[in-house]
Amino acid sequence: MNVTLHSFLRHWQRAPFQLVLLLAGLALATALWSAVQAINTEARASYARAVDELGARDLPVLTAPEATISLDHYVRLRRAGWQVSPVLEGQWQSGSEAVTVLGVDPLSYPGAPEMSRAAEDNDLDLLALLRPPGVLFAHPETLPDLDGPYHLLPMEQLPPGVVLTDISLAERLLDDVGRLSRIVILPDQPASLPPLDQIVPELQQNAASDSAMADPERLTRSFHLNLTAFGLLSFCVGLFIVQGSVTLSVEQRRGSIRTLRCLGVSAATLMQALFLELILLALLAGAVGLVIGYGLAALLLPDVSATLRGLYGAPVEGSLTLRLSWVLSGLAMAVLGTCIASLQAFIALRRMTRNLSDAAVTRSAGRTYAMCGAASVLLIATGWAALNLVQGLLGGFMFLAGLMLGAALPLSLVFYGLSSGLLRLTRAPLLRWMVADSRLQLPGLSLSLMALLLAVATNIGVGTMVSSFRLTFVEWIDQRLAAEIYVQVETPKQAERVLNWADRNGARALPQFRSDSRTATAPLRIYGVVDDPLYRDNWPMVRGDGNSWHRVYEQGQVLINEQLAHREALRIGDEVALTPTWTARIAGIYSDYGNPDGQATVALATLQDRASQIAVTQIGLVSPPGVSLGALAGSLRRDLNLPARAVVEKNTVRSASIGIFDRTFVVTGALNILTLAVAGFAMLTSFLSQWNRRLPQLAPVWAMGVTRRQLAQFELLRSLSFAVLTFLLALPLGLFLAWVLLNIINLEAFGWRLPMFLFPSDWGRLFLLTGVAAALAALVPVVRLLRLSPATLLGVFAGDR
Amino acid sequence: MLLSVDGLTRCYPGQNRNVLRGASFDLARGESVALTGDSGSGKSTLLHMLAALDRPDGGRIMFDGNDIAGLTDKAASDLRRRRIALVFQQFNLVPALTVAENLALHARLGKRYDPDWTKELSDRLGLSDLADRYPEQISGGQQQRVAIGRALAVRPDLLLADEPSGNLDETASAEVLRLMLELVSEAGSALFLVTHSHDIAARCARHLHLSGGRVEAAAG
Repeated sequence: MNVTLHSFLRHWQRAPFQLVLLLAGLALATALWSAVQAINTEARASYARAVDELGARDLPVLTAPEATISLDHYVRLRRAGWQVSPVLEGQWQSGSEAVTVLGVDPLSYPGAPEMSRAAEDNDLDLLALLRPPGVLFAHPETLPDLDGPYHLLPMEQLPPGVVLTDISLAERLLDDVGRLSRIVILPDQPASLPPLDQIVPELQQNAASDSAMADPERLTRSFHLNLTAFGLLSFCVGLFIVQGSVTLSVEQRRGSIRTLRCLGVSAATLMQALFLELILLALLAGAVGLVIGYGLAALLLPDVSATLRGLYGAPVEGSLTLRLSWVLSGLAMAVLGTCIASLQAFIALRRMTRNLSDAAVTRSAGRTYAMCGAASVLLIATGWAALNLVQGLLGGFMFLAGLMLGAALPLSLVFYGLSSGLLRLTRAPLLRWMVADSRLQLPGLSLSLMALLLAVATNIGVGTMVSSFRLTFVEWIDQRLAAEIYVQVETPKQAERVLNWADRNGARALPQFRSDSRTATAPLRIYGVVDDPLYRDNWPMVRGDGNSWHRVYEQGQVLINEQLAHREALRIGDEVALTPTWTARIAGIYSDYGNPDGQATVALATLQDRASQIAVTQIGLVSPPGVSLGALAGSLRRDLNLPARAVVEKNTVRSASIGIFDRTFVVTGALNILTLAVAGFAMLTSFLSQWNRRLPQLAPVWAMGVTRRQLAQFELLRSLSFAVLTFLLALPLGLFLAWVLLNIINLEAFGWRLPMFLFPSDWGRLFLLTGVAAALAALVPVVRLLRLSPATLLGVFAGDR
Repeated sequence: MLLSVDGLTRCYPGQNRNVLRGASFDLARGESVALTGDSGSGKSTLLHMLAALDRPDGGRIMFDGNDIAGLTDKAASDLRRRRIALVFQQFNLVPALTVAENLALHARLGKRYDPDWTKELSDRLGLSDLADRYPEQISGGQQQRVAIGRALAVRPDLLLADEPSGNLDETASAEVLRLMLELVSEAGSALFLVTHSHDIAARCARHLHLSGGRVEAAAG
């Protein structure tokens, strides 16, 4: 085995450039995949910390969907013998940063040992938590944002943006005394306790992660699935390079393989040697890929982190941790991918070892193309079946995978048909030779052209989706931000002061009252709005008519957001249960991008009449004629002594929202470009791997008087022609992909559909980019052709003996 | 008797014609035998069967008392690694290995590598100065000498040569053949040489002719 493996490996010493291409292809594929995995793993670890709440995640909790939890509820439970722990949670403005404060009882909370340990590590005891000035625990990243005379202690287990402290200090920070957000039911309860619904009938028992903090992993699932899909696509495109290089290397060693067989090496030993060789190469390239992937992930993670915080409120650290599981899974993917990409090479080797008399094992082009056609139909049909049979996003992505691969497979068949048609139409001998020669190269180029088709179609599809989304989003936010100034208020008293101030200064006030509830399966936020023309005229409605608002104000009906309508399969005129005792008829459905949860909007009077716990969190103001927004906002801050962040002008909200949106798709854009680069690289690999086989075809034409310069021009023209044709075929595929993304994937992932717009200027840019990639890919063979010595070309004839 | 071939038949897949129709002959240890025949007569097919690279449809190939016609791939490979060596018209060197590595390759695979014997072969074949070159850097005649050296380095019981000088000019051909016969004799191996040249065949101890799928003693 050693001698055989040595002979195999020595091939690469003679073909270093080919080895570099193979390793680079595999390393790139692994890099993109592992970068995405690193980002996802890091985000999930952060989510796990966020929802874990220091060990309280899996414990059931008591919440009050329609009422306040008071200390009295807690006392009643304790007196009845129940082992419970109170939690108060809220937003606290610390300096310029808002953080989530989690107030707990350090003596009973499940995370007490960690708190105690963190205190002891900083020379404090647990009692310091209860004594003034108090202790705030936070992730090291969050500590610099915290203000105040408190002991500030680091705690790695907490997610960024969350502060853990004693409940009495939390009450003071949040200015919310005597109220609880939830009560954690501890494990190990005494026997024979009275049932909870007898002691606290107004409270409801839920799983912790579902009731209090929305689980960020659930919210961001679609975002990560998108990233994973992109990573997988890049990985597959990279594997096309590996497939080409490995198959070529086996073909190149056909003679050596025959010789080794004649010298007594068994077929099994040859297969094992090839397998070992590939494993070695995969591990080497995988390791390089992991290094690149780690760097790439570190580069992209801050943007992803900002996106997830901004869009979903999901806490993700901006720094990357090297995890053994990530390294191992990256290497495993490299090995697995290499094995899959090398299947054809193994089959070719098997054939060689079985039939030594054959000079070459060839399959007729017709049979190959027929198989591609059949496989294409099968893949698309399987994808379609998956879309109808598999629920949710997974079905959507399976459909996409089937569609894309199914569309890419018959590419060679299309090119073959085109070249055959062109041959019939062309009379010029040189052009006929070029077309025939290009057709001869199709089998070797087909995989890289498929990779290019997939990359371009993905670029068009994702680009169209993002641009359509952005256009819709900007228009939507302009309509949705009806007021000119937005004031964040924290208490009813503060809200009243703002309303009085607006009245005195002639500003129109649009207070937004809200009540939190839940449907049978998920949280639901109900908003109550005053009757104002701004809502009637501007509110962006997906389904509804001119009378929708009239029915809201006059008949107590409700408007719901698109995601709630999709999730609960609701239509206009249906009844929706807003609370266990309140059902309302749907008057309209509105778009609500960026919000993962269900939302309902009713008239303020209706909300005040039907919901028991109402809070006002935001008040919109419309300035009186002749008063500038800046002046109005300034005097509001000054008169009511409000912090700068509490009073925000419409344009600031607008640009911040659009900023978040744009950052969301930075990663997508980066992966798009990288995928195209990998596809260009795949083309280069194919051109180079065909080089040795090209000489016997070029030499006779050269001998007949075609100059090397002309041959080089033909080479470039051929590469560009392939790229242009591939682009033209990718355009409709990409647009269909965009349609699927906007109407199927978005609907499953977020609960909303988006209108599709076309962006021809983007296609133009991509067309140029594809041309540049193809020209660059052809550059090396072109230069080689120009520098080709007559002796090399004559060598072809010498070898014809 | 080292090799005893009895009633070999072979029909190519998809063809009705039997290329071999009961070919039979014997080969003694240390004997050199040449086989001639027209193009397409089945000479190479017969040689592949003797090397256990191909299987007959019928008949027996007794090698040192054992029938090798139906060996498994592993057993056939083992036989080639240690006891049967081949020399081809196309040289079939491994292009990724140097001349020295190619010379030692078969012996190493068969775990019969003898540095002194390989060195002697290298010297006798005039390859010592070419040891670090790759096959593409040496002439056809030199490549064939490497192939012969590689085959004899394993000290095979049987050397099978398929048109060993078919790709060489007249001078190189004569030189290669001289060296091969000389070294085969010294190594104590038997030689079965397939050729289309009656002149080359005449230099072997016995000359057989393949015609109509059968082996017969050549006239003259």
